[in-house]
Amino acid sequence: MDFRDLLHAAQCGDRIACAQMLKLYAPLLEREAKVDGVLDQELYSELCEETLRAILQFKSPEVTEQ
Amino acid sequence: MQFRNDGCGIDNITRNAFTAYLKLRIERKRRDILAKRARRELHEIGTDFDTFDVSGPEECDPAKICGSDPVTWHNDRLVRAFAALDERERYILTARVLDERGFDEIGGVLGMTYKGTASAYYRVIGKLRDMMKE
Repeated sequence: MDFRDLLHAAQCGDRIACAQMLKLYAPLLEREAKVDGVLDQELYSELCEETLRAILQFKSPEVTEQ
Repeated sequence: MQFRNDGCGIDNITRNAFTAYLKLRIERKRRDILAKRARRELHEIGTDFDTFDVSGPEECDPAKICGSDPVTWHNDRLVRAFAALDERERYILTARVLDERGFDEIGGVLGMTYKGTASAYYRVIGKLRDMMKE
């Protein structure tokens, strides 16, 4: 499954696709959830929620493949 | 190991666009959450009352009592006033204000009547108020 299909599936509510998207962006989320070098679980949860919101609200760019 | 893509192809373009969009949202959310926490911490007082010293207000250092940088405690008068209360007064105040317990329940623990507990509570409030005016 390529990224566009995965994103589309997640936007349609496929939980497995959402979980895969979160796993894909886990390193970014872990990095941003660190406070003074320590992973803040509450912040991490909030950022995961924000990621799911971003998935739902993102509009894929319309590109014609050359 | 994941490598950055070359940005070619609709899939990579979509992926890069989403990643950039997500990064921006995550950074903003993080900033907002940490700013909100910092604002809340300015107004909170610790509830570790066992560390309070009862030897007298002039010997009470808010930093020593609350175990943190004194610069962050903006209401050190309240901390000193609280530390000057005796154990019973502190219990009545914290049980009523923080645990929201009734006077009869508090009185049951201390062996007092409802009226006695209520009077003691309002005396403590008045005492704190007077000490903070000094």
